[in-house]
Amino acid sequence: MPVTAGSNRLSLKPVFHATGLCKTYLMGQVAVHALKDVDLDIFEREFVVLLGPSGSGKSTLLNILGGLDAPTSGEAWWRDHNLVGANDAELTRYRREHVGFVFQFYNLIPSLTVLENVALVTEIASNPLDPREALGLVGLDQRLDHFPSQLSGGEQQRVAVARAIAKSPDVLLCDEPTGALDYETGKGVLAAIARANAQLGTTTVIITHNAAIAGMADRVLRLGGGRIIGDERNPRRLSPDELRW
Amino acid sequence: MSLLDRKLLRDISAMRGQVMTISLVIAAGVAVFVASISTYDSLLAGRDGFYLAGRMPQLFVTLKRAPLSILPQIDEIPGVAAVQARIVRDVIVDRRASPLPVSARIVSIDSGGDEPLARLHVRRGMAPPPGDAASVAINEAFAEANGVSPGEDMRVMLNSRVQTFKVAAVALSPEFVYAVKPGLPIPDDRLYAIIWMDRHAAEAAFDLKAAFNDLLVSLAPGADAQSVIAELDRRLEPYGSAGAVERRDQPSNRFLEDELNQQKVMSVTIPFVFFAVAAFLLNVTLGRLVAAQREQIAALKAMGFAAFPLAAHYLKLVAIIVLLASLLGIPAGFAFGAAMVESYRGFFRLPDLAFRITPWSVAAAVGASFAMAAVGVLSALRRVTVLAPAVAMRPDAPIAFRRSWIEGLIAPSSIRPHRMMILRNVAGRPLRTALTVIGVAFAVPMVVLGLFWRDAIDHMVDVQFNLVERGNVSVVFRQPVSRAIIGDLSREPGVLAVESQRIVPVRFRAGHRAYLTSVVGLPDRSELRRPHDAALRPIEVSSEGIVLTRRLAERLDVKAGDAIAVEVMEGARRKRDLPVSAVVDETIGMGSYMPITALNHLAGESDLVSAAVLYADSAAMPALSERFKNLPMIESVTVKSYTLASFMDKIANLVLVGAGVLTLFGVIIAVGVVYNSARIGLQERARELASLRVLGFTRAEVARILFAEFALEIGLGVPLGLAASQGLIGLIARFHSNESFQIPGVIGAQTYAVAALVVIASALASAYVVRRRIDQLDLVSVLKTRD
Ligand SMILES: Nc1ncnc2c1ncn2[C@@H]1O[C@H](COP(=O)(O)OP(=O)(O)OP(=O)(O)O)[C@@H](O)[C@H]1O
Ligand SMILES: [Mg+2]
Repeated sequence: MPVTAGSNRLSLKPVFHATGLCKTYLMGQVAVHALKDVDLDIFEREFVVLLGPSGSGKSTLLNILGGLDAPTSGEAWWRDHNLVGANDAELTRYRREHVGFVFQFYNLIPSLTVLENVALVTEIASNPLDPREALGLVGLDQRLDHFPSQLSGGEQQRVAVARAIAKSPDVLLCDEPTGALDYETGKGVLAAIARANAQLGTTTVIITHNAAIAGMADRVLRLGGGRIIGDERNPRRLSPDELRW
Repeated sequence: MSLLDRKLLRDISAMRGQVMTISLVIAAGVAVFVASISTYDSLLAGRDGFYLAGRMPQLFVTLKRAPLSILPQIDEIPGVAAVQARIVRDVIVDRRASPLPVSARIVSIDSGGDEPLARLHVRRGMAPPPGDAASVAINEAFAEANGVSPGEDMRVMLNSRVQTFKVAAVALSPEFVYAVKPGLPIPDDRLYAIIWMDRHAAEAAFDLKAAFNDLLVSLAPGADAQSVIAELDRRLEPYGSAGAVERRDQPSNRFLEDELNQQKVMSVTIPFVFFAVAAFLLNVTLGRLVAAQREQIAALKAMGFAAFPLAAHYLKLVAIIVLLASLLGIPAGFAFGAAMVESYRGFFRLPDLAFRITPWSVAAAVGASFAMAAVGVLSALRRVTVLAPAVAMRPDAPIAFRRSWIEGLIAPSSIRPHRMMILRNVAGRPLRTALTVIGVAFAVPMVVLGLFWRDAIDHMVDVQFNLVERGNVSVVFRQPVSRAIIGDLSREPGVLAVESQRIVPVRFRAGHRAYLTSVVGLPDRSELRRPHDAALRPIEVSSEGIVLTRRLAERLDVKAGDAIAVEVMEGARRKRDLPVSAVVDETIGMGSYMPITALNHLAGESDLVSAAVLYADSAAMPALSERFKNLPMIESVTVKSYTLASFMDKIANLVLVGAGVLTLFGVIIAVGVVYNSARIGLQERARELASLRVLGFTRAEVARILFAEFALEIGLGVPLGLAASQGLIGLIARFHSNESFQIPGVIGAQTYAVAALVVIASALASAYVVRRRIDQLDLVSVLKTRD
């Protein structure tokens, strides 16, 4: 189902709200500034693409939004969850209840089958999809009993997407989900993510190096040297089929 | 510093917990090895030195009475190098301070202690010179146990009257390195003295003018001991010779020899077990370490590093671990060995028993540790380097997880995914799971090995002193007397039961094997001395034959039903063939039994008794002892509880040092095995666990997944280890048994419990450390790298 633009479906209420985010790594005498004073709002149901050269701070920002990392200074909120001062238990609960992740290297559990990898997450979620249904969304409902090692890279990444969307998260955070994939497979994965965003209304943030993907987004944020150097709203969202790279 | 060396240092600092525990395990092996070998060598050197300087004879003969004038005929026997004719008698010492009668063996000296054979080593004072009839030398063990110093008086009962001598010297003799009262299985230095007195005094005291009743013989180099013995026995038989005894059967030497053999066995078996476990641990740990660095190794190789520097790199890691182990293990071995030798000092009176380190043992221990560690590392390295770099640089092919057969047994849908992870990890890597289980199983017997000695000794003492010897006092008469004395003894106040015994010296022969010992004659349905079989069932001593203890039967190579030749070594010296009617199991000594009537008949005597076993009211014991001190026909009295207490006291030291240290090392091994399994388990699963954390699993949930596997391995390993303990201890006990003591392979319930608890406690401690590491898992970094 092609997704068409319709900015009226976006609310004006930000779900992510960050101000003055800084992340500094101290390496002996040298300080590496991964993020410098980043202000950011992301709205409900929004589909955001993060673009930027290597080392510009994309993963750092995404990890902070996902409750995996803490900034050196600044504030970050997801709705009324303070992501900065929270302790490990609170962040774990935040991830568990609200966030779905897709990573460049899939991070599947090798000892569990496709179905079990998805079920692992739906078990701890409060309002999950049926794992089979989630796998249906990524077109893998015929491979339920296979182990990750029996799948191609793209198929593994689709399992990761299914796992992320199966718990019907409020937020879907994807760090280079197509980085290790070829053109066609990459598109398939993007289509699955787009479908979740459209059908489930999941707020979605995708990191990519591939500027072509930006066409799918409601909004494109560009990072450079740890700062947001561009924030553009697409007049029309392209469906993954329309993307060319 | 080369880059590889820098990598080495970083690896070591990252794995310091593992490096430390593996080093400790090797250190324990090195320490036990160095200590055992060196203790053995020290005892051996102490004995050899003393036997040489003290001119320890090869043959020992006891006889009734022979004139000194026959000595030239003995001297001329081919193969005899030197002889020393002595007067030896057992007497009672009058010591008011002692609660029990003190026995002593009087040994005559001719040359002020500088004897041609069995020369004294004077510790303090000066041995009585020829002609000095007023002073004596006493053995150091007695002097120390009773606090007697030169200058004090010794009051000895000689021919029913008390005679006082001045203690002129405290001395040692190679003949009495381990001085034990004849007929007693274990020594009691407080109640048994060796008194050396000049021949003139002894001749007068025992009415043996120009005569002797004890002969020491040394052999010329290359002489055939058996033919000399035959000739000696032939020539001395008219003088009541009980037969020449070889050095190996001389009581002090036998015990020393047994202990040396035991030490020798221990220096092989126990370090072997320690090393085997350490090697296993090294192999697994370092093997996994190398496997985990597979991609690095392949990359280094692809960059042009040759195989040799890579191997050298990992060998350096091994060298550092072994170096660390040596730095800990060698000094610990010195200390352990020195403590062992120190605790032997109370047992063996050797003039220069000093702890000497055996240099080759250090070299061998370090070399063997290095070799075993190197094999572990190099074999793992080989598995990586035989691969083409391109293949090796890819992550290890994920193990093919399959639905295991176990899943067929349970409805898979009923198992929740995180449980399935546990199940598949355990079943999907059966070899690794098995190795971990085996490692844990090894840890248990290591602890048992240190602890079981206490159980074994308790059991040994219990069998011998509660089951077999059921009286609490035994007395030996000066010579065989009429049975009437038993009635007299039973009328003593406090005596509840008395049984007679007849002890007759004999020589057994079976084929070419011979053994000189004495037979204990027991009354019908004896209650106070009851031989038992292996299943601890009492055995009736039947009049049809002779009952042998198992060790004696083994020495003679006979079994129940076989016939042996019995030669009585006193009186008319009758010889008869008797069937072995039963073989009994006793834990101490090599005895034999017959019914008292049959024995008297064999000896050609009427109804005589030579000893009695009493069961007395313990409240009446002090009065009874006092009374026995003054009964002239009693030669010696033994109170079981007293002897036992002194024995346990002495042995406690040895057990404390030996078993205590072994237990400590066992615990180190247990901790080493368990900790390393846990750490490696975490290392291998860190990525997966971090992924789970990212997905929203809590620390506790993630820890539970890892610990469930670990608990399963511990849960399988501990019972397996308990079962293996029985086998290992049985083997060790067999190796360690000797003619003096049969160590039973008995493990107490408490020992099992402690061993299991030690392993479980180290598992909990390891789990705690691992749990802290789980809390510190770096969630971001696992997302940046692939497997
Ligand atoms: N653990 C760390 N220690 C030190 N510096 C770090 C660490 N993690 C990230 N950085 C630095 O922070 C900066 C931003 O890193 P980040 O991973 O966010 O970049 P990115 O935009 O995701 O790059 P890429 O596209 O290559 O993934 C980089 O310069 C990086 O070197
Ligand atoms: Mg990145």
